[in-house]
Order: sequence, then C-alpha cells, then structure tokens
Amino acid sequence: MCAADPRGPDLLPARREVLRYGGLALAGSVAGSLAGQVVWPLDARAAGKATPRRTARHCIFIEMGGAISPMDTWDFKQTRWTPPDLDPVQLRDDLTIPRALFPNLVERMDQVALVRSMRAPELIHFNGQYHTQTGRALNVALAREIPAFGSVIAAELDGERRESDRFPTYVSTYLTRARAGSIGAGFLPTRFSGLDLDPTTVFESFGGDVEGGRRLLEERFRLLNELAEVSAAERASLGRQASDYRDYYRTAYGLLTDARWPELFRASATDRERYGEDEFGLGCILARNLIEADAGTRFIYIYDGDKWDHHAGIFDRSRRWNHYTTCPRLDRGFTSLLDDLEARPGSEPGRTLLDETLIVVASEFGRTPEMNPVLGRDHYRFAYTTMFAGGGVAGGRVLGRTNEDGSEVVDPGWKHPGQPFMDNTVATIYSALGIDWRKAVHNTPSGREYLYVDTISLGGSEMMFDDEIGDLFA
Amino acid sequence: MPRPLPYAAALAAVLFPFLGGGSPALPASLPPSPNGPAAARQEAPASAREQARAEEERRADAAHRAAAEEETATEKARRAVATAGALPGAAAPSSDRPGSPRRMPRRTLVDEVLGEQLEQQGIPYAGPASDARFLRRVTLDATGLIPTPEEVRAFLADDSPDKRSRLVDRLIGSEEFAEQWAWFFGDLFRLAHQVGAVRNPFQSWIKEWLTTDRPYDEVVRDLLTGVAKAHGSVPSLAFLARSHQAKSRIVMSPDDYSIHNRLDAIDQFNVDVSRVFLGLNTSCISCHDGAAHLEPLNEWLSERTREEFYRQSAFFGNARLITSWDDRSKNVVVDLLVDDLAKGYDTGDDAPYHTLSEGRFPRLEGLAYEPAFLLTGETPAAGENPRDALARLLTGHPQFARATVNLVWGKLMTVAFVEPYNAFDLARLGRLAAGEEDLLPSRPVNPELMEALAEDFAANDFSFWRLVKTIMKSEAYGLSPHLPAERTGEGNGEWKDEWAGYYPRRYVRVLTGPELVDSLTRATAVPTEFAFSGITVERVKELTTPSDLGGRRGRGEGAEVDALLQSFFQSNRMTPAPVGNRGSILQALLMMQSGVVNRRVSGEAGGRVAELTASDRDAGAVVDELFLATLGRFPTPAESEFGAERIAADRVSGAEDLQWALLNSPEFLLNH
Repeated sequence: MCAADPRGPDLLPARREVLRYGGLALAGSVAGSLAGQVVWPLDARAAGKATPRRTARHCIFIEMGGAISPMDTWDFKQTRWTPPDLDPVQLRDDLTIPRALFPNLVERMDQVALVRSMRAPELIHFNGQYHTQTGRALNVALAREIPAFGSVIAAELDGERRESDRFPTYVSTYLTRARAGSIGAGFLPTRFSGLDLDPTTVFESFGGDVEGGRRLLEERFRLLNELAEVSAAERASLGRQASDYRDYYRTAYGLLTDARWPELFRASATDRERYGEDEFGLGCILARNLIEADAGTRFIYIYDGDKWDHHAGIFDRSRRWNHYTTCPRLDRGFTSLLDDLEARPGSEPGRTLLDETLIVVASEFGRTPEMNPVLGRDHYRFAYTTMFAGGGVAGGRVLGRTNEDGSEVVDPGWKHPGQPFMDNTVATIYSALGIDWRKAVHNTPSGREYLYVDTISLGGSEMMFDDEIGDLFA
Repeated sequence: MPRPLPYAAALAAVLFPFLGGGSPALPASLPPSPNGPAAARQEAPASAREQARAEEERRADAAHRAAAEEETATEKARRAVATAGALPGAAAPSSDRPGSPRRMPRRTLVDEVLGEQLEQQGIPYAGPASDARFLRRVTLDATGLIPTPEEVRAFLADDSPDKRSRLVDRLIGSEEFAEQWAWFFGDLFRLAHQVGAVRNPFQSWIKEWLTTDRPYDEVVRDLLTGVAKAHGSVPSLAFLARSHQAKSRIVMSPDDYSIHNRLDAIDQFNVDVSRVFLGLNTSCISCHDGAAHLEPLNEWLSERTREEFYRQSAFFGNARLITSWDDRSKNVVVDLLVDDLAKGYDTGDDAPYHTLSEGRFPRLEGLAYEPAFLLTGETPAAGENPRDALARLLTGHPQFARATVNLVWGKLMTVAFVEPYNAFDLARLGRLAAGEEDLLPSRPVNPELMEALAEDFAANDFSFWRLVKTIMKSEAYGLSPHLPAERTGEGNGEWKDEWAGYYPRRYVRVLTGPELVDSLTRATAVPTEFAFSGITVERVKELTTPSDLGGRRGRGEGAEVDALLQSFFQSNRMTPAPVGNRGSILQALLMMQSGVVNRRVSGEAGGRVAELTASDRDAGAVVDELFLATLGRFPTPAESEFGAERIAADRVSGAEDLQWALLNSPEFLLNH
C-alpha cells in the first residue's frame, strides 16, 4: 500500500512507536508509512532460492575511498612503471605482494582471500561510492527510497537483538565525509540508519572525562525531562512529532549512558601506534571495540578517508599521499585488526572473534593499467580486487585472474561466466550474516520492488548474477 | 460534550497574556471526552508502566486543550467584535456545533478556496496560532532563523490589527530571506561543489532575483538560454554548464572527448529542467520508454517514449559546452564556453558516455532528433533559437506555474499538493480537472487550491514574493497546529485523515539542517567558525554549498556542523534529496553530544549565557531572556519558577543547563 502517501508524519494517526534499541524493536505493528516513505513492517519475500551460510556474527566493511590500484598491490604486475624498491615477494605462483607497501600483510596472506575479477559499472567516485554503500548502481529515479545496505542488515538482524543490546546494529565511521555522504535508511524506519562516528573527534568528545561528561549529561537529561513536565501545556499542541522526539531522546540517552559506551573510546598509546592515529586507524580501533563490547552492533562500515585517488605521482614520495604512504597505512590498521580479533575469544568455545567476523576491504572501482603522463592512474572499471578475511572465509584463496597488464579479466573465478560486482560482495556479506540475499521488498513507496541484490546492472548489457561469491568460503 | 472555555476566561487571557492566564483554568477538573483517545487508552492499562503513561497522556491531552484555547482566545475576542453582524451568535458556544463551523476569515486567495471548502463540507478548523508562535513560524519559514528576543518583545507589544501582515512584508525581500530561499533553490538546482568556481556568482545571482522579486519566468529563461565565452561571466549558466561533467581532470589532450560527453550532459540537464520547473521525474524515460515500466507509478509517464525525451533534449542540441585547457598544468579549466553552434542532437558523433547512464543504456547511433516540447509536442518557430523556444514554451505552460506553486506551498505548509514535488501525473491531473473520481495515490491533495494559486502566480508576472505573501498572510497559514476535540464536533475525535488536504490546522515540521544550526547560533549568540576559509560567519546559509563547510577534508567545527546538517536531512545536492521532516535517534544523539551545541551553551563561549550571567539581572529575567532567545516566547509562570530556581542555585551552570534543555526540546527542533 501507500505509494507516495502525501501525508506527513504529523498527519498520521497517533501511534506509539516504542523505540528500544535493545531487544524489542516495535511494540505492536506500525501500519502505514511515514511521509509516504517509510515502510514497516516490510513485505519482504524470497524471490528465489538461496541458502545463507551464517558463518559470521559480525562484519567489518572497509571502503578504500578513491580506489586502490590493483596492479601495484593485490594483483601485482611487474611493468616498466614498477619502482625498483617495492621488494615484491612471490608467495605462490599466483600471489605476489610488494613487501615495501604491505610489510605486515605479506606475512598474513594465508588468512585473507582475494577476488581479482571484480567489475564496476561506474567511473565517477560519487556514483561508485554510492554503489559501494547501497550495493547497487545509482538509479536517480528511485534513489530517494534506497537504503544503505548496512540499514538492510540492521532491519534484517533486528529480530536477533537481545535484551542487553543497546548499540545500534549498524555503525559507520567517517562516512559523513565520504563523497556520497552517509546514505540513510531509505524506505526503512530511521532507527535503522547507521550511527556515524567521526574517529577524529569522538575519542575526545566521548572518551575524555568520562565521569564528568556522564554526570553532566545525566544532570541535563534530568532537567530536560523535568522541563518537559513543566512545559507539558506548551508542548501538547505539537502532537506526535514531539512525543516521537521524546522516544528518540530516551533511546539516545540509553546509549550514551550505557557503561559499555565510554569503553568504546578507549585506545591505549600502543593501540594508537599499532593501528595509526588518523581517521582510518582510529576507525579500526572503534570497530574492534564495538565487536568486543558485543552490545548490539553487528555491522561496521569504515570509510578510510579518500586517500587513494592517485591521478598523479602514484609513487612520488614528495606527495603526502602516494603508495608509499597509503598502502602501509592500510597495512597497519587492517593487520592490527586481524591480530586483535584473532587474539580474542568468540562467543562460542574454541572460536576467536576473527572466526566470527567477516572483514571486507573494497574500493569503488579500479585504476587504469596504463600509467598516465603525470605518472598516476585514472579510473578503471573492468577489473579490480576486493579482499576478504575471517568469518568463514578460506584464507589464502585467490579467485579470478587478469591478463598480463591487469586490463582484462580472463577468468572470473567463480561459478558464473560473468564478473562479480559490488552487488555480489554485498550478497556475500548477507550470506555470511545469515541473510537471504534473494529477498525482495514489495511494499516500497514507489511501488517498485526492492531486490536485496539487483538482477540487472540497471538495464545494462553487462551480465549480473544475484549470487554470493560462494567460492570464498571454506 | 467538553465544556467550552468561558468567554470571560478567554477575555482575561487576551488582556493579560503574560500572566499565562487561561492555561491553568481548565485541565484539572475537565473530564476526558468519552470518545477521546485518552479515554480509550485508559480503559485497559496492562501494566503499571502503561498506566503511568496513560496518566501522562491524559494530562497532556487536557493541557492540549487549554493551550489551544489560549491560542484561540485572541482571535475569538477579535472576531466577536469583527463578525458580530455577519454571523449571528458568532460569539456564542453554538459556533462549535458540528457541521456549522464559524466562518473562516478570508484574508487571501488561499482562504477564499480553503474557507469555502471547509465550510461547505462542514470541516472544523483550528484557531489561530498565538502571536509568539506565529512570529517564530513565519520568521523560520521566511529567513530560516528564529526571531531575536527584541523581535519577540516588539511583536508582542505591537497591538495594531495588521501586525502579522506587516511582519510578512518586512521579512520578504530581506537579506536573510534571500539566503534562506537561495539555499532552497540551491538544493533544487544541485548547487554543489561540483558546479565549480561559478557556484559563488551563481548563488549571488539567485539572491539577487530573490531580493528584487524578478519575475520567475524571466529567471528560468536566464537559466535555459545563456551564452558566454567563459560561463563564469554569466552566472545563471551554472545550471547548465558544470565541471562535474568532466570525466577526469587529467586528460591526454585538449581534444580528448572523454572529458565530457555532450549528449549525456544535455540529458542530465533535461532531467533537471523537468524536475524543477515541471514537477516531472523524467529520469526513467531518459533511458527507456515508459511503457511496461511506469504504469503502476505514473500513467502519463508510462505513455512517454525515450524518443520524446530525446526530442525535448534536442532543444539543447545546438548547445556546445567547451572546456578550456591549461597546457602547463595539463588540467581542464572549469570555465566553459557555451554557445549554440553545434549541429543538433545527433547520436552519431559523440564521445563515449560517462555521466547519467554511464554507457549502460547506449543510444542507437546515427540518429538525429528535432526539438519538441514534451508536454505539447510544440516545436520552435521558424528561425527561433531552440533554447529560447523551450524557455517560451515551458514558462508559458500552466504546468510550470503549477509545479512552482507546489514547491513553495510544500515548503511553507509542510505538505505539498503533490509529494514528492516531482511526482506529478499529468494524465490524472487532466481527469481531475474534468471532475473524474480518482483515488490513485500521488493525486494532488487539493487540486482546486493548486490551480487557483498557479493561475494567480501566472497572472501576476510570476511574482515570487506575491506567491509567498499570499500563503503567509492567509488565515490558513496562521492556524494553530492543534485542532481540539471541542472544535471537531461530537464523534469526530480530534482528527480525521480525510481533512488533511484542506489544511484545517498547521502541520508541524522538523527544522532543516541549516535552519537548525543557524537558529542554534542565533539562540546562543555564538557564531560558527568554519575551517573552510577561516572566516567567521553567523549563518550556514551565508556559505554557498554544504561542502563549503570543509566537512569532507576540513577540521574542527565545519565537520561537526556537517554531521548535524546530514542528520537533519541536508541534501548532498548530487543524489536526490533525502526525505525530510523526520526525527531520528541520531539527531537526538548529536543534539545532546555535539560540541556545536555544548560549546555554545557554555558560559565560557562568550555568548548569550555569558552575557546574561555576567549582568545584574535577576534570575527570573535571565530565564525570560533564555526562553525568548531559544523558543521565541516568554516562559509560563511554572517554567519561570522552574528556571529561576536553577539559576538561583548556580547562576552560570544553571543558565547553561537551562539553555541546553531548551535547545533539546521538541519546541526548538520543530517549526510549529
């Protein structure tokens, strides 16, 4: 029902959406739609047959904003542009990693899997990053209602939340600074939108004087509630939106005063040194702490800050960001995350947090195999590499093969004849988390079916398969 | 039947508004309406918690009525005098009888239509909002700011009967009005960072026509027809000529066609033109025919073909957008040459596609298309420049006025006739005009009023000011958000959804991001400093685009402000704007924790709290000022007492905490 219901939320019949981030999602059914956009409950039905693997309890998705160059890194090609000091280490016939760029990762390749046959429809960062965040190509006709795929995860896993779960299911770091910003919950209720934390500020604002900050907040929140009583007459005429805000504030307050919340913003000097102290390293620390806290957060999207767009001087050490700086930065954060999750026990005996956490590292597209006149690489969409680790992924596996210069995929490396897209990476994440990726939501505001994984690349001639990349799993 | 407020009490409330009179008179003794929601909720409280909740709501409901009556009292008294002759017994309680609402004052065209509809159909409507509420509402809608304490005092002290109308006249055309609506149009025109260096002059140009009330059809003509050697010299060209159409800033040679694709740029522009000026979403038919796709969504578009879309694009078929090239830096320079010397919209001779559909919907090659207006099939006159022809046909079509009126109505009245604004279905519109019953969604909620406003807009030189004033000066715009059960008639409860399209009460809306941040700044009197240029500005809307906050790369407050803006659904101006008017947990979290709020209420910030606490005013006066500055009204006696206690206990932290609580109250976050 309710395609484009013209009534605003203010106009809908009063309903009490008991928002509890923990446990109970909604008391009673919330009929109708908010502003003609929010749909709940979802009419989501399986459109096909899929068997999710449910190998992971958590997922960390790392977006390398700006797009990493595969042929200098994880799909290494020795060419006339390759600098002599990269120290490439040939681990296997099909696996060479430059030690100068990835000094830690080169020792850990048995724990990660690569898919070298990825393909993107986009050549523009904005559209590409939109695709990365939503798991589908930008369709401007429908973009208003399309949720981030993290919000879909939050909606899907809502039923699994426990009484003690207080943190949002979907948390992101630094994403409001990405080119497409933080894409909201689309047609889903806003409580499924990602809580975005800016690692460059939250450690100070939440992690500093914890006791003092908390006392002040408690005091002020008490005052806010008392004032609401005193002002009840003045506020009464504001109707439902005012009472909705009361619920939003209660939930937010419950989060801020949860004892586990300030713990998230603890980072020792050693941690900071190991992970790195910028938005990416601190984002990884946050992700680790969130998973360790096990307070309801299941999916964390780390935006690493758009450092990879090397259109010029990709190996030019005089530039602040070049491969000699961007790659080791990723190397530190990522391998520290592997180390720490591996060292911590999982929820089931004999398993580590790494066993239960799928980590994905991806870009919006690739970079040109041919170096340009200013010794940089431009945008390229026909082949790029995505990295997977933990959460049931078979370490050491390399799927897909490119030709000599990395310009073409000669073997897609999975059971389908075409190349996988970001959409399939999302399907893989869904599968690992136990979500049926062949579902479709039928009661969208536009009336257009929302497929969890699109079956067509927005009308393009390119083949797309609504499948997970199953060969990644052990 | 609930008892009506005794006339004497109403009069007392009018005469002594600062005593907060009226409000305490009712609630305690008034039994809940037998059919009211409060009663229903009380019937079966399942637990102690629910019982407490029900009690809370019952009290709120009672308070509700009192507040609304207080708001109404002014108008009741005024009307009792003004309409005594015309409406026998107007002042008597019988005016609240179901089916015979009192006659709504006809202040503007809006009331002519709505008043007639309400009365004919016996739909009750709310009383007028209080003066303070009206001042805050209209100041926010006109300027994106809350009123200052001085403005509130002056407005409340003014007892001339036409003060609301004069207020509207003062606000419309002001600098802040230009900023607020330039931001509104900036969102619509996708005035993003990607527009390039021309974005500043482009915004200045928008402000200029808003400040001078240039006819809107002329404005649109400028947007469609400009010619320039360097488009920066003709700011209105920024809508058409944008640097983001370049694929890459580093290209192999100045002749590299992949810099941008002309037809894709034109198609994108065509989609934008249809969206903003005609209220149509043509992005679907830019890639494929509407048939077999759009039937359930939009009947009119389902009958349109991709070829028809091309033919509308072909009005720009002669337009060339030529980037310049810097040999030294090997960079594309953002200034474009724009002229009409291309040979037409010909799919054979252009570069690979890199923008809208990114090659996913390739055009059939080698076909040329002649311009034809999507709505009527009309073509340019002999010898007429096609872009001039489109400007003439588009602004001359009634849908142009309709789409514009719908945009402005939506912004000012919270709910537009057609939502979202680009969802017009022209096939159904035609049938509605012919009186045919149509229950499909996305039909306009009040086609009669929309048509009347559109005709008035077109007949008066497309005066934007006139349109805004016609709405703001209407009785309908000034109504209270609450329609109490006393007014709705027995058995009606408080609200019926089928009344919605007649706007019988004010619809509350959440502030937009810039409105919120700028009002925060004004309430606390602590300006915002943006890393972007190191300059101190008082208002976000003094900047040109959200990205000028320095959010993506910047440090400090710009990023925090950006986070607030995004949580209050500021568009990134690249993808379609997020759905607005929604509260969220994230908003609550940020409002409680963001330094943008917490730093500003601090006594150390040197703002309002510092100034007030350093002064020798007594606690009550400090509370008054904080309420006036933050909520735009005086505190009630209870609020005053509550606040004064806090401030007496600790002058600085009491004032800090009180302003913090006021900023975090729904009364601040909403425009009501």
